[in-house]
Amino acid sequence: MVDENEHAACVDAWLERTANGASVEQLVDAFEAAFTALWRRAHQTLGDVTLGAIADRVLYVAAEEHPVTSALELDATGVSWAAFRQRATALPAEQLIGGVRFVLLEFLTVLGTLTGEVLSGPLRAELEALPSSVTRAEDAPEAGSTASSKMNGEDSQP
Amino acid sequence: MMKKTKDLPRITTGVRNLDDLFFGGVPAGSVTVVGGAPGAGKTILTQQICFHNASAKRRVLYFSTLSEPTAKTLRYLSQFSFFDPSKLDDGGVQFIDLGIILRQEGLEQASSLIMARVKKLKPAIVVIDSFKAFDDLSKSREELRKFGYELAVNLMAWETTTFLLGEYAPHDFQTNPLFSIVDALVMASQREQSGEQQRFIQIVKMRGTEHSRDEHSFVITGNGAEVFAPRVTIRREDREPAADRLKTGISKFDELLGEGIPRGSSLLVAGVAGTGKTILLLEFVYRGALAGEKGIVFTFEETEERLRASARGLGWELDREIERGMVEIVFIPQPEILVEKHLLMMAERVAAFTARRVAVDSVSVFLHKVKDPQISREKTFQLASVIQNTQAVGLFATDIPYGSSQISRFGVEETVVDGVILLSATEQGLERQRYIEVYKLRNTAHLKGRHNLAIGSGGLTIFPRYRADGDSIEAPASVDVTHRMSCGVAGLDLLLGGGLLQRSVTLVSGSAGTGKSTLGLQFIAEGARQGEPGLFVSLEEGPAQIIKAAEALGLLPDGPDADLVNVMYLSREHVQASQFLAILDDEIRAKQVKRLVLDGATQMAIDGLIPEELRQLLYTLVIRFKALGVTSMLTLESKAMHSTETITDHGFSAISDNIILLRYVVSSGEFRPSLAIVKTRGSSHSFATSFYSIGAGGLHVEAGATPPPAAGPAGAGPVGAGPVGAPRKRSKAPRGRGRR
Repeated sequence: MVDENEHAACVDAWLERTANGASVEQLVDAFEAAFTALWRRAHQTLGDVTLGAIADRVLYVAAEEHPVTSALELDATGVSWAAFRQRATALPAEQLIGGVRFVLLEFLTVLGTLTGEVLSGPLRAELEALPSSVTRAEDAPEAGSTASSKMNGEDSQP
Repeated sequence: MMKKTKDLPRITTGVRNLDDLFFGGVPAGSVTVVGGAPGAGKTILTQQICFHNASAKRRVLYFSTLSEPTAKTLRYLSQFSFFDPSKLDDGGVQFIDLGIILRQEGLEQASSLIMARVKKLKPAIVVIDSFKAFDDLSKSREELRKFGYELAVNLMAWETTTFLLGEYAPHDFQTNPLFSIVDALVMASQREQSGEQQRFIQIVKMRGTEHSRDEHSFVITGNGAEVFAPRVTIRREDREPAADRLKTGISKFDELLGEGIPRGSSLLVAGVAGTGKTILLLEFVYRGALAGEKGIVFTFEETEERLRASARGLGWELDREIERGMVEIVFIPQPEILVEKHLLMMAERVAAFTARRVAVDSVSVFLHKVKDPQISREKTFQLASVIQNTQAVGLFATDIPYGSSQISRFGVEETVVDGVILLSATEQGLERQRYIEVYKLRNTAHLKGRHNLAIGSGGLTIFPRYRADGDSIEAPASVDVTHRMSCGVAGLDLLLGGGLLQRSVTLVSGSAGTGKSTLGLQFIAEGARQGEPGLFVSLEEGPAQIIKAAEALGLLPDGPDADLVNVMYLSREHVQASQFLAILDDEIRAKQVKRLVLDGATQMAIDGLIPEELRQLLYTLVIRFKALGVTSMLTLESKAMHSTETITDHGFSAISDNIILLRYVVSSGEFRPSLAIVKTRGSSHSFATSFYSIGAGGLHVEAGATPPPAAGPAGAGPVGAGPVGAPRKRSKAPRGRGRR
């Protein structure tokens, strides 16, 4: 449970840095950047099939708990953000934050559990390294591609 | 510095001893193939794991493919005690038939259905029975590999522990891609071994954890699967040996066993049929119970009731000991023996009963179906490990073949036990004599050789040929040249230089009617008058007759001294020569005997005891007499009536200090009894031949008996006295004319 608590603390700290005063759109951008960072790091170790299966589980469970996240879809090329972005704009911020928090925490937790917590530290480090203020992912030089483009393997190599 | 590794979370199987083969259970989240031919027990084994783990919060998904219909599965399941109908469906275990989808839509749809169900139910365990159906329906090896891999990955992502059942054989391991995908491979099989059909289980592969690689037997009963893995579950613990040792409490057996049997030891009790193995084992447990030690008997031939009856016949209150919980008898009928199963059962019973004594009657029957001596050796070792781990003491009977030089049935068991007790029997005349021998006992000085054993009322009676206090190793105690004892015949004392030296051994050789017994009685009676307890041992006549004869001659002392005369009759029909030592030893100690006559010692030679054995026996006897401070007289029957040439008829002269010959000589045309002293050790004596008569008061040496020319080292002190000038002391020995 130590790692699970650490995961929660890490996600909450990221939310603290990111969500305060952010617009819905900024929050979705930050979420996409965070999820993408986690995906990219996990992909280095796990590869497409395994990571896809894990993400499928995480998104399935998240949709059950937070229906807002059901718009996050896993396709053959990765996670598609367009539908989620569109839906998020119509939601109260609190509901969105709840869904975002759940997805990130569940992703960290499941990845940690399945890898015997081997990946937990590096994954949290990815989250902690993200800047506190975010711009749209397309505009950011570091996160200059969409999550889906990253998942296509363009920059998924170590 | 070694990096600390994390233990994998595991699920317990609920199958007895199976978790031990995995060194702690099946790793959670693993994918395991359970393979084997139809009927090997795959399904029961897996279903038992499912029902053991299932609950409303911990779900199990059981997919059946193109094999057994679910309805049948449930019907068969209901016969097992692990089956709990309340655990079906929402209670935990959900059965799903994939048959239609597989038949109509193929692998991909089946996979989708499986994952849809998994996502919906989030089960802890998923079973696909049989996965072989996917093999059969796949169009290519590539398709099968892809399907298998994706299914395994998806199930992994959901952290399910998965069992894929299939009719796989070892040749599939190298060709079927499934076996490179899965984490573990468990094979179930059945074949004939040791004359019966047996089931076996083996973990061929298990990623990420140590496990047993051996094949282990298992059974399926109404309780489900039960694995027997004594190689894994019975491991010999490294223990400090206990300081105390076990005394059996069996008559004289402990004398043979020296300081006792070390705790944790196992001893084979080996012998052909009828040598007393069962009685020895039963008495071992019974005596233990009387001494406050719990004992357990595992028997494969004799039922509990028969053993109880045997015990009653021997006068033991075994029934009482069983009733008060000190003894337990476990009967396992020979045809029902399953070695590994019952080995574990024995281990559990010994531990549960906290038995300090364990009897197994017999290991040869227990292992009779085992053909491989190495397996017999291993199983005996495991049995011995049970004993060592519980710090009990075990006696394992083993039947050895007639006419064999083996000391165990299979010729290997003796190498893994701590000791071997050999029981044997030989024919002597018309009788069969039993013997016991401590052939081996680790870390314990014990009496060597065979010792006579009798079984009768009260149980075993053992007659050690010698004692452990070293009397056979050290030189025999010498005669005491400072003390002389009157032999009760004044004239003879003179001829002997003043009497017999204390602790000396005197052979009195004579033909029938020469008065040997009378002389012996006079020797004992004189001792009684001096306050010295005496023992007259007769091998021919009963005590009443001897006492009557002694009274007729007026030999016995009057008053309380008479009680110091003890007469014992040892029937040659009931007492074997080899038992004499133990019997006399006991009597001498009990009555504090100072003088002893063994009348008719040559009778011991009857019934097959060859002269060398008799000589050895007499030698052992006189050494013991000397060691106990007894002055003894042995009378020997001589065939010669008037010759002096056969004084050493049996070559006994070497064992004696004094030899007195009673012979007839022809004088003035008539036979007249005469005596001559042909040997005295440590003293001078008269070499003259003297006439004597027998009448009231016994033997009388006629006047003219010549005293010795010079006194020996002790001088010719007053007859019957102790040291010259020393006051007489009366012995405080117990009184009573013993009769046997």
